[in-house]
Amino acid sequence: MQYMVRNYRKGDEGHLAKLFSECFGPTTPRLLMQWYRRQKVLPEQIFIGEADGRPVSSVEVVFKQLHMDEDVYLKTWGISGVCTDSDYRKKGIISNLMKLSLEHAKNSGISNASLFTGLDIPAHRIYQRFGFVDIMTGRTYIKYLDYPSVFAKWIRQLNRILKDSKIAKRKLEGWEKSLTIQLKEVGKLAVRFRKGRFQKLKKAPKKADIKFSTDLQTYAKIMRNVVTWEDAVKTRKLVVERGEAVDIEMLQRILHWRWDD
Amino acid sequence: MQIQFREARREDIPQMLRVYKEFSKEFLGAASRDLKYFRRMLRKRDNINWVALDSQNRIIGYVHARIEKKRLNRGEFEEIVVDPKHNFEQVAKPLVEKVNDIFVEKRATSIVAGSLRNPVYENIFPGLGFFESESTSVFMYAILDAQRFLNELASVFANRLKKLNEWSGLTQIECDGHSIFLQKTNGNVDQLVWTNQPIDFKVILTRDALTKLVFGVADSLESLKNGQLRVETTLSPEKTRTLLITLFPKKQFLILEGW
Repeated sequence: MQYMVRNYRKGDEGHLAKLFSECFGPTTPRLLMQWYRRQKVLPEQIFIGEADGRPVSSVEVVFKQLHMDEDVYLKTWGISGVCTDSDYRKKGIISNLMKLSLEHAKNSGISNASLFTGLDIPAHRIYQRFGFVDIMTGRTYIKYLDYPSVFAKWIRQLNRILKDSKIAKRKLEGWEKSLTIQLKEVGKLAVRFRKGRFQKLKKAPKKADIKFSTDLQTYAKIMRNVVTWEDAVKTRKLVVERGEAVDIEMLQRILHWRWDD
Repeated sequence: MQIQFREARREDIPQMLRVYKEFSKEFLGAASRDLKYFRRMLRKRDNINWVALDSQNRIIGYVHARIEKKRLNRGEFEEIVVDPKHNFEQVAKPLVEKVNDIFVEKRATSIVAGSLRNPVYENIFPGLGFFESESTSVFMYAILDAQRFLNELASVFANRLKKLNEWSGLTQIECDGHSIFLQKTNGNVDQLVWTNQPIDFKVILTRDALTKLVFGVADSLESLKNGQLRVETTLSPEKTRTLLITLFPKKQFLILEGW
């Protein structure tokens, strides 16, 4: 496959917003430009992989000064917005973009680079190959005030991100199932996937295709990928009452919104 | 001491920046900021910013939070900053409680406080009904040019060596074949470009070890044990330990904003 690497040009924002929507969730060209302005990202700090006449991959650079002790701040090449269109993945585009961006940093006299990513995504391994070292993982404190509303809004969000995710649409094609979740602190919540959309059900179906029960904390940790489904089942924190293995696998993809094999 | 709390105002910006600067000095990794950053923080309508004031009306801490309407009307604590001269918990806890009440008023469906990684959070949030979850998000760092990186850090190492009153000598820090030389005489430390004088204390590190040690997330003595760091010296083992701990003190890493 032929592609080229270039810097940002006016008019790319529409394509980039679509690309970002597929990789990180819904965004618009306006929001993207606002973010660039806020982070002072210049066109030459945006590296774009272009194939078939449009941007299919991007890496951006944000300059930050990090405190290194004794009032010394070091300028860092902050990598951000690393993403590739799902139709163009596994072709080495992002590795090449990263390589070019880091070479550019070195040539510009920058001694170091930094980024935020997820431990559980394939990109983490790519960054390690480029010499990035894990410094610190995060810790989060969560309190749910109205979980049924969170659940309803999550389903609306799923439909919004599904609109931009070609890979998710492909995987979900022909999969029409219903799900009942029994949460100890909340009660029953139900959803089904039908005609290419997620629909919240007011009443849990008598015979859902997938049915499981757990507590809110375990469910939240599974969603955040800090507890695996298998571990939750093993430790009996989650009990699957009904569900074929293939459907459970699809459910996990939906919960984490991870579609790459 | 009596602490008052109120919503942050535009005229608080210089004091908020001062508190942030004092606070971030205590940690490694915190990004530098300017007045513009705080102007933006106070301008956005969905942001909730409260300050804590001492009896002389000086700002001693603040909380910056927001309601993320696009993310399921989620309340998010973005940062809690307290002047290190004051007790973090004593100032932060009432601020967090205030903002927590505002989130409830604004009908937030959930509240999240994320940190990379403020150790005091665990003393505040579980008591307010929050549960703790590890996160899969990770901050990664790479040294691209070891010589330049060492040169940029030379002043940090020099300042640390200055604090070691009872020792003078020549130190070499080497990473991947690149070095800096620091000559300590009495209270002064000078960086040399190169020397063939005998080295009193030479530290040889891998890039990984140097990265982790400069951010305070690895222990120099542990790195010495597991071979990620080597020392060539004529000094006693006790002096070697003292020098290593001086050059690479274990400090708290804390980064407040992502990009």
